[in-house]
Amino acid sequence: MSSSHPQGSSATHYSHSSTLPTPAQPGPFGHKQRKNFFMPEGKTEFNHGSYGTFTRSVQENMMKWHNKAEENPDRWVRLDLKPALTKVRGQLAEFMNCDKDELALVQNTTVGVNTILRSIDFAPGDRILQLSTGYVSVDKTVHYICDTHKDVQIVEVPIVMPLTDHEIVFEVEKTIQDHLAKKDGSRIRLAMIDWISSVPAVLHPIKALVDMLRSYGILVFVDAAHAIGQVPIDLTYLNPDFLITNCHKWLYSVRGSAVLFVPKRFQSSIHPTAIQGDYKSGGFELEFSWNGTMDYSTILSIEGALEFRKQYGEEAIIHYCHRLAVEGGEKMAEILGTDVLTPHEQQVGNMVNVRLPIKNINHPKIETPDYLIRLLLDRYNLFAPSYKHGGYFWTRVSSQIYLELSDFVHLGRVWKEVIEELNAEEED
Amino acid sequence: MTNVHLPTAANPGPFGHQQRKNFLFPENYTQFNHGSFGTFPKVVQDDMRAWHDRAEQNPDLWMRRDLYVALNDIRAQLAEFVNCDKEELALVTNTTVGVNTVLRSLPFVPGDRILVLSTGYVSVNQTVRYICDTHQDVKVIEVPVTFPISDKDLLAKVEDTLKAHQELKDGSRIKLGIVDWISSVPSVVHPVKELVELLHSYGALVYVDGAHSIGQVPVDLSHLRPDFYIANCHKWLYSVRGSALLYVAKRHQHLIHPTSITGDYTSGFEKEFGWAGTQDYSSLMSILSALKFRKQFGEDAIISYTHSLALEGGKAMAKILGTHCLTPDDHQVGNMVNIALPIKDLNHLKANTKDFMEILMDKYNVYTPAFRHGDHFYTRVSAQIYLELEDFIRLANIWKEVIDDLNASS
Repeated sequence: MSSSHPQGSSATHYSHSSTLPTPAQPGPFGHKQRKNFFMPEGKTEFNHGSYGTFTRSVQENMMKWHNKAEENPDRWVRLDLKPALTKVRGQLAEFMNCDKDELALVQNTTVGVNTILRSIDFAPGDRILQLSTGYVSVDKTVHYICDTHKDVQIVEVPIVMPLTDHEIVFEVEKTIQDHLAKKDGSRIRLAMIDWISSVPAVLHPIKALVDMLRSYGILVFVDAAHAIGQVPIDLTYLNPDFLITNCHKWLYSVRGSAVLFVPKRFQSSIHPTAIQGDYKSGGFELEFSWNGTMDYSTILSIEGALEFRKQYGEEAIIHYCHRLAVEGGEKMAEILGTDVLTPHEQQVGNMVNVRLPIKNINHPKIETPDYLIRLLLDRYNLFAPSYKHGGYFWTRVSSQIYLELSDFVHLGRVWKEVIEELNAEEED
Repeated sequence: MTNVHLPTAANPGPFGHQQRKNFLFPENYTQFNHGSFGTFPKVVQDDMRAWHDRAEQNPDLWMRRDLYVALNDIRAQLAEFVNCDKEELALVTNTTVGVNTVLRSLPFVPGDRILVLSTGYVSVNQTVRYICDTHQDVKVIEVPVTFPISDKDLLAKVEDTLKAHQELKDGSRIKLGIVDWISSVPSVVHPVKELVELLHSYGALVYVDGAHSIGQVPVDLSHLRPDFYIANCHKWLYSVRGSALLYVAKRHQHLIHPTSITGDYTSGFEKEFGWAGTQDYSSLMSILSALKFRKQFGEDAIISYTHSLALEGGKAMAKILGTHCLTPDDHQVGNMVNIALPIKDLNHLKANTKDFMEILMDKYNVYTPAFRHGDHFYTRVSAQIYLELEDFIRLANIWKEVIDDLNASS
């Protein structure tokens, strides 16, 4: 992980070195990368952001672990598994600049969020702050906490893009101050904040948000589901109270591999979603080092993912994907005659939201849950999610090392055709 | 199981060493501890890999549509296998998750008591402890059980505990009883139908920890009628690790939520348990090929062979070691048998689980767990279709050497 990334402001700085790959000069990236992945001929993946994908080399790495376990399951589980997991934690700790003993490997963000939220002893009067753009499973988990505790309630910050970084921080701070003004004895105990939200995909001013929230004495849980592999992570610098990130999204490990950050000061009160034999007898590390019998090869594939990425370097990957998202988004907006959601480039990581020129936002086919998925997949053999936000209809496109600008042009044309068809139906 | 056509230890039929090639063992390795982590045939692994590749061809189509079709199919097949409604089944990662799912969902109130047996699995008992730690005046009532003990005496012990609690008349109530179908260490097949009925008759809900049951004994949930039941498919059913089956009777489903709440919270049991967040579902998918593999031979044949081998193997080992098997009655043995080890000094420093493990693995390249229970040390051996009687004899001779060495040293 390069230490030359200045993290001195709320904006993520991207190096502008001319030696790093760009859409105009993809270097080792672009369509030549397709063969390293699993995509069949004729299918282009525009939605890496939802479920990620991994390389053939990562799958081989996963199978290596899988087979090793089967050679001698007892030796594997009882002697070799834990050191292997500890090694992965060590690699991730170096990657994210923190202590490996502050990390726990879990299956995914949903598990990570539940781990923390269901461990905290919320008391009557506690409030949980979240943004309206937070992920649905996180929102539901917060609701569950409120349902199962007396007088624990949600304080929601309404966020409607486009907003600048400054405006996002302002909205959150305003909500906090409005709450303080109530003087009703309640207190905002914890805030759930996206680093990069899902839908819409917005790269938030996370350092500014963390600092501001902590200045009000609020615990901050950063939902960094999309962060690792998409933006540089420095946990020592960011200093959140909790953080969860999926390795299987942008890091290229196999699905079911995520990492939870819990600073030492909180560890004694955090327990796994599934309590096991080491409860209260070994501390955080032991409680989280074994999740019961399962296939750990997906988690261990993080090793293969890091190895694959090292060939190119994080800077190169991040730079290419980011530039492609920005330029690809611009191209699509041009073709569609619309715009992108985010006013500033720094609000885009690898995912860009482009407005779709639908005339009637309540068109019945848009309301039908599966219609667009089936249309895009069956007719065009591709998919990019679409959603409503702020009174408009958007599509979210994920750039990746296996894509090129021409792919975004193609997608722009596809969406143009699809929307024109829908608009034409209205006029019949 | 006395059908003369079913395979036995004496007449292995399609089973025994000829099955080794269907599995993933290296040449020099014999698996005597299937009970801990299970293993699976090559065809199951190949199939798992095929599902894995398939998902990657089109992750969106897989995650948003085809996965659910496949999960439903698995639930339907398992429902037929265990004789219940498909809507009463959820697929989870393992027993620990299944136990936590129910225990952390039930609305325990002050005065509730949870009954467990002392021979219950450590993770289960720790989860109960966690529930007690996080709820006001919820306590555990433990039935002390030491084997050997007959079914009748075991039931009497549990009933004595229930009666003793009634006598207290302190306003508390036994809300839930957790019972093993087949305990882990020591491994004993319990009289689970009678236990369920007994607990129900005292007004307690019953959670049957069937971690070891499916694939080892016939399971009929319509007959058993537990309130909750969990079974690992990756133990005796031959699916890949991380595939288990949770049964929640319809009348309780509105109370039960996953250990990880997802976007489908409050949309009903089926939806809430249909999606566990992004993960690799190929372990669950492998249940299909595991069932298919077993169908070649038939459940009766598999269970007949492994049970017979456990009994005969246990007897042979006890003879060689000059000791006895833990369980007085044959029907208390499923596929796992516990044989007493002839240790002279029970307090010998090296007479412990860890040291035994190291010697077995490093010197002999085998492993069976050794544990203290009551006044003896036992080792638990798992019979399987890839083993034969001579394997048990070899293992007995290994253990004899290990214990002779131990007894000779001070």
